[in-house]
Amino acid sequence: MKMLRALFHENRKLILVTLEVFWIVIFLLDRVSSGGGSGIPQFVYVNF
Amino acid sequence: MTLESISQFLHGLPSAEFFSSAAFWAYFAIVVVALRLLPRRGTVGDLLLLGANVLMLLALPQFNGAALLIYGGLTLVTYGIGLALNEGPLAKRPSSRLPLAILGVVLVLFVLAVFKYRFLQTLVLHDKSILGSGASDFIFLVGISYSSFKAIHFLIESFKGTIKRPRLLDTLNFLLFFPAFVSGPINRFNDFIAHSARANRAPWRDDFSAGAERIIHGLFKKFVITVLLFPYTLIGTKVPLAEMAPWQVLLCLYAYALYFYIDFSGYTDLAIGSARLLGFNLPENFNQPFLKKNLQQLWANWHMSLTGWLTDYVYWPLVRKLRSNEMLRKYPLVISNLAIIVTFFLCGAWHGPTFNFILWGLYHGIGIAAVNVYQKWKRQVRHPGALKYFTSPLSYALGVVLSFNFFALGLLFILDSQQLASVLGQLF
Repeated sequence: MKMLRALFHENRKLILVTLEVFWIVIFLLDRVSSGGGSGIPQFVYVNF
Repeated sequence: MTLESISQFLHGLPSAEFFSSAAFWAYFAIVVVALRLLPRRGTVGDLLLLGANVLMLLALPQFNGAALLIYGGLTLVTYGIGLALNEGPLAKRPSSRLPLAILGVVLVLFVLAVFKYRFLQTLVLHDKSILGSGASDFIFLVGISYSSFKAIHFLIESFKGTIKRPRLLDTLNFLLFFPAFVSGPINRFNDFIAHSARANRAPWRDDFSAGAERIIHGLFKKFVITVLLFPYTLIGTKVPLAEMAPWQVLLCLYAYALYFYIDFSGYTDLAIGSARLLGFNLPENFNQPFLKKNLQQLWANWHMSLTGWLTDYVYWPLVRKLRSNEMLRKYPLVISNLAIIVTFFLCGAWHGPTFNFILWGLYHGIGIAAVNVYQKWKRQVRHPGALKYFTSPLSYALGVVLSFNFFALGLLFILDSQQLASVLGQLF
């Protein structure tokens, strides 16, 4: 457990980015498969 | 080939909505590779960057050749006045410098107001077809809120002498720098020039990992978290608010506040990351604002490039002016609070063209003024129990909860009247 924790701390950035990329890909694939139906709301500040 | 035909050609390609469309990333990849491979030294490098800025802006669906001409004109006027404040016969006459700087700021504010406020646009632009839109509707000039503040910064710093002998190419690139064009961050000219010099020499690998990592954080916030959160927000929920219990409406309001933060900080991540891939560092906009102990701290860490601009060019000049008043000088808290309320009034007017944004600004200004009064009272308390409480985690946690609630409730001001009536009806 200690070793795992140390490993996580050492590679925290890489693990985080990998997870983020994984979920981005999943959500984009979902969007493509649903024909972009779910839609991504426009950035809030763009109209300010 | 005219600007309009280039714009039409680019608009014939897939839409390049900044940071959220596949087309944007495809064009951006070409721009990054081209700018990194081609020689970037001196004028050639600056011209290449300008070319990239212009092409990326023209690919924006809301942008066209006419908009570029307006920005070109705004930049030329800003640059011309900035230069005149630095050198030439006017620069040597102190009595002429101040009126010239004021004229420049007023001109920029006029352009901002015309493209921000419907009534002023109707008054000034009777024939809007000259701008190429052909529509009689309101013309929204994308990026004007941010570019005008950057132009005002340029003029004031030229007047102060901190911007010395600017180059036209640098000024154009500064005002049209595409990663920060639509929604900031509001960067500063001298930082931009320093980074521009560095960007011409920086090795690709130094910027790539930092920029790509930041872009991934931004994409994750925009394509995952906000997509998950949006259906639960006040503006995204499919359930009519009238059918919700008050606590459900409150949760939707909290979700909206979080959505607002994650969406905008995601945008900032994408802008900062993209700029970094080009070799530029943009200023940060957020530092965990919803974990701050009071509203003043929250605002000091929310949209920091804007609050920094307002502090430098509205708050402090106002404080200095008010301090010069004999009667007011004895009341520093009154001076500070008056300046804060005026600053936030203008902050509200900048955020939106309608009266509710002004109310939103005043709401926050009065909130921060109340925090100021509370802080002053706290400094006078001598009771050991109270002093212990002020430094306790409980006091901190309570401050965080109160500040977040105050901020979230403030979002009610920027809802449309129908949504606001539903929310108020359910909450109270």
